[in-house]
Amino acid sequence: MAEVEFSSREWKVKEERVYEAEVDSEGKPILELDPPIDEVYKFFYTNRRTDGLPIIPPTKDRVAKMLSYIDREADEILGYFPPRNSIVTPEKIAINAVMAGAIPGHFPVIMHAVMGLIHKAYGQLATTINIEGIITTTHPVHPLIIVNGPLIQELTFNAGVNCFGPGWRTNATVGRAISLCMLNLGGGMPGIVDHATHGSPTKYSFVVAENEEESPWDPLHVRRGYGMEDTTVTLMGLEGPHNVQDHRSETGEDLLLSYAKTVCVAGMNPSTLASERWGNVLIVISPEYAKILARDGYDIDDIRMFIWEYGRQDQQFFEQVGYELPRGGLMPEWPKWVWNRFDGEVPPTAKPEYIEVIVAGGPGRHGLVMPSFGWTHDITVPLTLADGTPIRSVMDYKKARKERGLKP
Amino acid sequence: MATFCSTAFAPLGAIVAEALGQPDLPISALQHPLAGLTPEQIRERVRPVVDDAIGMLTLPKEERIKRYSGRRWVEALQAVSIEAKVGEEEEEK
Repeated sequence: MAEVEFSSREWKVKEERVYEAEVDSEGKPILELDPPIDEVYKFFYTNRRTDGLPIIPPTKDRVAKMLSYIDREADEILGYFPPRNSIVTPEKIAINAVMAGAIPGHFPVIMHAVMGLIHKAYGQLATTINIEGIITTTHPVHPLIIVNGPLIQELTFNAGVNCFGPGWRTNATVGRAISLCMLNLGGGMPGIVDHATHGSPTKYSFVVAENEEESPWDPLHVRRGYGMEDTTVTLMGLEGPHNVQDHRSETGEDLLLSYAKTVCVAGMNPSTLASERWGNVLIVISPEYAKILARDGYDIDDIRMFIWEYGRQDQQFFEQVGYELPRGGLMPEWPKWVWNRFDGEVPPTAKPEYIEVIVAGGPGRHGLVMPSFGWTHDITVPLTLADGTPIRSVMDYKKARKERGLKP
Repeated sequence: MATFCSTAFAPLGAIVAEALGQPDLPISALQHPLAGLTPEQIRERVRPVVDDAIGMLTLPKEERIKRYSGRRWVEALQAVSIEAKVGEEEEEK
């Protein structure tokens, strides 16, 4: 390649590419049909098509099996994946799902999550969740996929002990498939397009199911207008989980104070950079905490309002670290609502409804707080057939596929 | 057209330009970071790229693309090896 001057960059430019795919006489890359798995892994890795972990080779057979769980043509255009604006089709998503190690039954969840990521409201320049910002920002954000509904059981999503951790294929591979789509369709190559200062382990995989069985309240999707029998994926652009440890509180009020004092700290985007338009926070309540809160009469709206009211920081602190819009400070985007409405105190989000709450986790007295990227709206996508009919089981796709005359 | 990014974000600028149908958008880069600089420091930072601006606006198209196309930022990064420098052969033995 041509010599390029990079006086201001740290890396050295090499005269030749270190890696090069084998090419045929026309210069097209060659991939053997059944090469050793470590060679396939190396090929994909050196071509920057993986997250660094081994992959399952996306052979035609494997991709076809993945596609057999959706009632759409393989090449149907579902949208465009920014910032690279690649065309998104079920087949392209399926290739990444195979690579991630997902099983075909996972595919409807993966596809609908990707459709949520690239959803763009009519007339809007950016996607709803702002996936272009999420992929490219210096902030350590990644879309969390929250699964609700009967497919939690059917596909064995983990909503209980260690639900954000390793050990469950469904959570691990569904999340990884979505991350690989962000890389291979969105173009989010680290250091080239993904400019996260530190990144986050959540970028490998970030999927959880709500622990609906142990929740005293309506689950997230029901509060958003869907039925208990519907399955949905809710996407939120969040930081990694921060612990809220409270082994002592005996009342719901004391427990919520622990959450409130964790939720509004220096350096969080929703309180410092967001606007009245967006900037949410996710609160994860463990089943043991949920029991105490329900016993003391708290519903979801009460929890939101409590955290919003008590989770405030002194405005003077923020002024001390440079947020001084009225006198011309460093951050001109400091939201006006901070100065106009709250009498010297900065709430954790612009509005109480921007605090979202789910129940998840196993035994133990820990909760989680996850602030968002700030410039992001969450979005809930129902799993439906291509004609919009909600599904009750992944097998509904098999039936619909047959009815539409698509290959089984 | 003359486009400027900070060095850290020039490759992203090129990728976005390509996605928007401008694969040869000329991009010159100011040394990163720019945050927190005084106006005088900003002026110092801009001086080295003034020649680039003149070149981007005056050179013939072919020469302009050769010298300033944003692709060069991406290609240079893609050419950097991400493989371990030692270890693999040892394993095979």
